[in-house]
Amino acid sequence: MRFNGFIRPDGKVGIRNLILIMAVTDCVEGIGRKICETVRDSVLITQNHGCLVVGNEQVIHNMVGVAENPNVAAILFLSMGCESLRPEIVAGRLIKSQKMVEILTCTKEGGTKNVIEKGIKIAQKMRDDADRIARQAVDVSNLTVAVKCGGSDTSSGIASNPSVGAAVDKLVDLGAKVIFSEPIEAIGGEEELCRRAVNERVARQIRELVSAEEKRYTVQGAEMEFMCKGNIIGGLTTIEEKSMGSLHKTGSAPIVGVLRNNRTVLEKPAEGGVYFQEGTHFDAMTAAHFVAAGAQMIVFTTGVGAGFNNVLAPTIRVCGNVSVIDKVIADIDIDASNIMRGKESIEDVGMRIVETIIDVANGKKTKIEDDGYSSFVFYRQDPRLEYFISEKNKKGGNNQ
Amino acid sequence: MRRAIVMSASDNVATALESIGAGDDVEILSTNSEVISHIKTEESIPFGYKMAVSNIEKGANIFKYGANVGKSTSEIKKGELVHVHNLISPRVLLPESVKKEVLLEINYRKPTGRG
Repeated sequence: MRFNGFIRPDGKVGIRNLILIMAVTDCVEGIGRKICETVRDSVLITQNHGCLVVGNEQVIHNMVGVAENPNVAAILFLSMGCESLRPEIVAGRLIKSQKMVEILTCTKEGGTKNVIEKGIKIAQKMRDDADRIARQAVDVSNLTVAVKCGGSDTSSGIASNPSVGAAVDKLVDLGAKVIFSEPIEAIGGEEELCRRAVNERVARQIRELVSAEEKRYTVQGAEMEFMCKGNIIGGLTTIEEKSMGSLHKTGSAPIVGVLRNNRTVLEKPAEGGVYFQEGTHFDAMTAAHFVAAGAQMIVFTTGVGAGFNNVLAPTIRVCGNVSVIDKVIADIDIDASNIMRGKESIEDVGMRIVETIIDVANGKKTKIEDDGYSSFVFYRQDPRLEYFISEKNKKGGNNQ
Repeated sequence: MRRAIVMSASDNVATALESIGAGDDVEILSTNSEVISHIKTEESIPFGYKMAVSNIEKGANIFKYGANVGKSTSEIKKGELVHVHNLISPRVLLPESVKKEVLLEINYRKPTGRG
């Protein structure tokens, strides 16, 4: 099976042809917005963890990863000029990708208005150059699809997640890469995931990933909410129950690797297969991790109506809750509610998802592509908490 | 006839496929849509919520999808609602404030006569 994509100089294939305007710190985000408003198919992102480097390594790895994503044709970096986090730190790591990269620094360019004016010219030139790249037919094995659920309810575990799981199995058969994350939603499901691990090393990494996330949410004296009220009002009671429903979306194929995403390293999938990525379960931050690992597309299942939409990776929304579909069918790409009524099989809905994935890879817009995006948010493990939970580990804490 | 589904043969809870009232006669279905049994509910079970399909002792494991999804914190009778008021994860606890808000929102009241 093939699709038509944009082949980048490093051989990776994009399904969109976007100009990325990356404000390396949030103080120049407004400048970026002015540029973005003027240039078609340009995307503005920033990060909100301050402008420092030490302690911020994970964010920097992910900024590099996002810029490398093949949906991005060219990158314009914006900075104020006083940051530790100089744009050159990120841009310097993009040489291998051979992408068009430019940097504008506010204090060097005579201030805000001048940077906006210059930035529009540069981004427009990037747009014109990118428009000359034509789509070419490539094999489906060039696709990296990420799967995520949000606003889960009972229908997620019965309809939308299992049908996405069926689509994942089909994609893996076709040689594509599939990424899932949300380690908190593997609590209670570790053994099943480990049974699917290709080897003992991957199984051990899965256990470590889930155990570390469990520790982050069970620090004594620091109560944390980890599943939303919508989940619980939707009928889900415990994290184990949510996990069992959630993991259905990862299908049944072997788990070929764990992708670390932390202060030390950001790993990307090498070969086809299913990968478990280190990270979080919050929609926008998880999506940023997926994009940084090279995902060109996200398949998002929802129960109680979260219309998640990522600006860099087109997002296909799958829903099995009839009452939500009745209200927001305009936002839902795949209606899986017939599974709940016993009128359509999980496999049939899975095939419809695969067909939609190919259509979207070929350029077809998802239902709300261009209409309103969720924020693009970089997540960062707090190095202090990481130290704390690893120390407990060394002292022989209550987990592996 | 109201319906609830048991996801795996070893489960001790069924999920309501529609809103079920107190005292309703409920058809318990398997995932192949076969009728396994009939149970009279002890209290109302909202759509998507779980009801006990057998009597469950305090501290017993609750199974859904054939997997252990937590422990009961009180005795649960066949036909009663199973949710945050009587089921907890032994690993990660929901904040108490969230539990209270949810029970208030679904207007949950203990069945009469049981303290």
